[in-house]
Amino acid sequence: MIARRGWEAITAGLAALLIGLYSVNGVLELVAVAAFGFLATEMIAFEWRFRGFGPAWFRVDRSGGPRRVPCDGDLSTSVELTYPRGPGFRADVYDVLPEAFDLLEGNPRSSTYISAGATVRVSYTVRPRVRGAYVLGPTFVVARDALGLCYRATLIRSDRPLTVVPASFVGRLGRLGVALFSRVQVGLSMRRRGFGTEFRSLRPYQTTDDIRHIAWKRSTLQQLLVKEFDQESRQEFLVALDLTTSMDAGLWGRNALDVSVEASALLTNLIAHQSEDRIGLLTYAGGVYQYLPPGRGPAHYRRLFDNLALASHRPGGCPLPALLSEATKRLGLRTHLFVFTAADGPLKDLDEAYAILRAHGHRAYLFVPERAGFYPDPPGDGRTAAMEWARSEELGRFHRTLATIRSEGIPVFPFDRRGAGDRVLFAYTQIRAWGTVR
Amino acid sequence: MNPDLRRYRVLAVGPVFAFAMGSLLVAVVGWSPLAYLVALVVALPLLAAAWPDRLPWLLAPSMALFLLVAVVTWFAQTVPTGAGGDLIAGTLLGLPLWFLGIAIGTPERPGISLLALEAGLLESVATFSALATLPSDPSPTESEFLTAWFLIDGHHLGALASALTGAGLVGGPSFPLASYADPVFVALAFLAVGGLLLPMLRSENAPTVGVPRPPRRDLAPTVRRVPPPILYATALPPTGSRPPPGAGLLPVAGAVLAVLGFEVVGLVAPAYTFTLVTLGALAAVLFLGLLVRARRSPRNPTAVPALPKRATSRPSAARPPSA
Repeated sequence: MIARRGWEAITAGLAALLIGLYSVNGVLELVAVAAFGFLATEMIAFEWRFRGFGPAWFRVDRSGGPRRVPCDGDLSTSVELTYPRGPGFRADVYDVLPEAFDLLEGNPRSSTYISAGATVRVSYTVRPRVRGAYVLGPTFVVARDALGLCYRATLIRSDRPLTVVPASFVGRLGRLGVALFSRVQVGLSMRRRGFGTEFRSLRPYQTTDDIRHIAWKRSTLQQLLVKEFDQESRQEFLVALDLTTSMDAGLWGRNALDVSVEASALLTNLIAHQSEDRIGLLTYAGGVYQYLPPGRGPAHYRRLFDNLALASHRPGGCPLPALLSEATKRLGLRTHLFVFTAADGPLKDLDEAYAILRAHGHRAYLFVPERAGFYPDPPGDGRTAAMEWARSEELGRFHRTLATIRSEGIPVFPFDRRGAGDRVLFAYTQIRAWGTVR
Repeated sequence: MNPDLRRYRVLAVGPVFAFAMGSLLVAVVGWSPLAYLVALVVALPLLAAAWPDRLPWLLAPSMALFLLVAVVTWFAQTVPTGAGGDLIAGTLLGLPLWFLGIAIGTPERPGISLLALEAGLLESVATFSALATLPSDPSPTESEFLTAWFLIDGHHLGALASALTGAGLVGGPSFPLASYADPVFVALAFLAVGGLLLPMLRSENAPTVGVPRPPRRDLAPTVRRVPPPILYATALPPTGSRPPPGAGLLPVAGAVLAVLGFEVVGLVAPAYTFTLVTLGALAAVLFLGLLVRARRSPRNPTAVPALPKRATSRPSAARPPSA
């Protein structure tokens, strides 16, 4: 291939020959012939030598490494290219990186001279920014002639799949003791008075107590006693993700679904760290797309994280009543349902679906993205009247939806592009402390 | 290009233009200050030897002057006199240094340098030929010089037209520019072309070819702009960068062979010299095109692997719902 510089040179050489022809002057023609001969020889010689240039000219080895990396993790890798035989050349060796990876150390590119028997190694450390499935590589090798007039590029397959799972900062708190033998985990007391089934003690009746908890056999006419219960020590959680395109609002890598997945991963991490509760996953778009029943254990958490990493939008809608009904059908034990949804679908029959859910002992908490807040303000004059109007319309729709949902008694936690982690942490803390969100 | 080599390039290319400029200055003593001032402005690109990256700005005043000269020549209908004549004469006076400035101010673009050198040499030959038709004592005035310059060019174009319409190059009309072959000029011209091309053999920083990269989209800002220290850096260090040894003498051999061929043909069959040069150049370009085209042909699809699709940043494999 002829580079731009090469085209320029060959065109100038021809123009110089033309000038020599125009002048009919032997000196000028000789100068032009010498210059054209120089440039044309270099280009033809390079093209002739490298006419078969391809991946077969190289051996490539990619260093080993993990296939799963968290968003905030570092990945060190290297690619070694061996050139067994052939003419020497200037080379650009370039390992292709996904655009969502930040380079921390080293360089995936090397410009060097390669001769027969030489080895070129590029070595670097990256940090992925956005969850998902990626591929490291392939490796490009661009051979250039000494004058930069021609080049040949080839692509060497050295791909490596890599799954970037959501970040896991809870793990940094350190490994604590076995949860079953400890009453305190991650700063949260596990055993508290609550609404579970495990008997705790008796205490005198107060006017605010539920009369169904009165211990009639232990009470006297002078003093009524009520039974106190511990909250359930093993609680069930289910994360429900809305995968419709409504959750695609926001910038790439930071849209509503990404933020929801991040918050879900936080909840999963908290539960995995606490290692007593169980957590599952339900994704919904035009029906239930995935359902992982609540469970615990490293294999279950890995499966959950992989599915969270790969969660992406699907065609179809996500009406909230249908989602709650489907969850009710699948859940057996009393479960806390963390629903991340844009709540765009029709809310008709929400009262009935939620009543059935509650009747089965489940509780639902809604995390709704405020989609107008998922786009940062454009700088300077970018703020237009049209954008202001669109935002106000969206905000109006958002608040009407929230009002409808809240009127059914469902706790709602709105969030924007800054994240939903604090909302999830608050809800989880409340559940661990009081058995419900108060 | 290596800055050290750039200095040699200036020293090699400069003399031929200095010779042309000096010869002209000696011959036209006594021209009006306006002509010298215009020549000075036209010669501004010479400063590109020190500041190559400012060449466009240095060229801007001379471009404006060239535009003015074109307007004056268009409306004058004949060889202009007075201020208009001074303007054009001053432009011609400064042109050798203008070409020199471009030739040495574009070290990373050999094509432009070569074209500037060749055009500068042509302009110098035209100037020398015009001066040869004028008496040396007294010194020719601006209008006399301009008249001679335009006459020489007109005669040359007329001779070319006559040759193309059937008279031929040999035994046909005389070409005013063809006969100039001052030995000093010839030697300096070859020094210049050598100085232009030979430093490229040791060039170490030819521009890199653009490597195809996936297009950037509307990315979220980098979460952490200042990377933290790496605790577990890669165990395998990268190999160091080796400087290339240069192009070797192959292109020089090609140039020598081309010149020798030209000389041999000129001695054996002078009438066909220019025809053979044309054919040779076309054959070289054709061969180069065939080599490049053969690379692109689909006969060997593995030779040119298709560019990879953009790295998947979103999950594509849909998993079936698990019960």
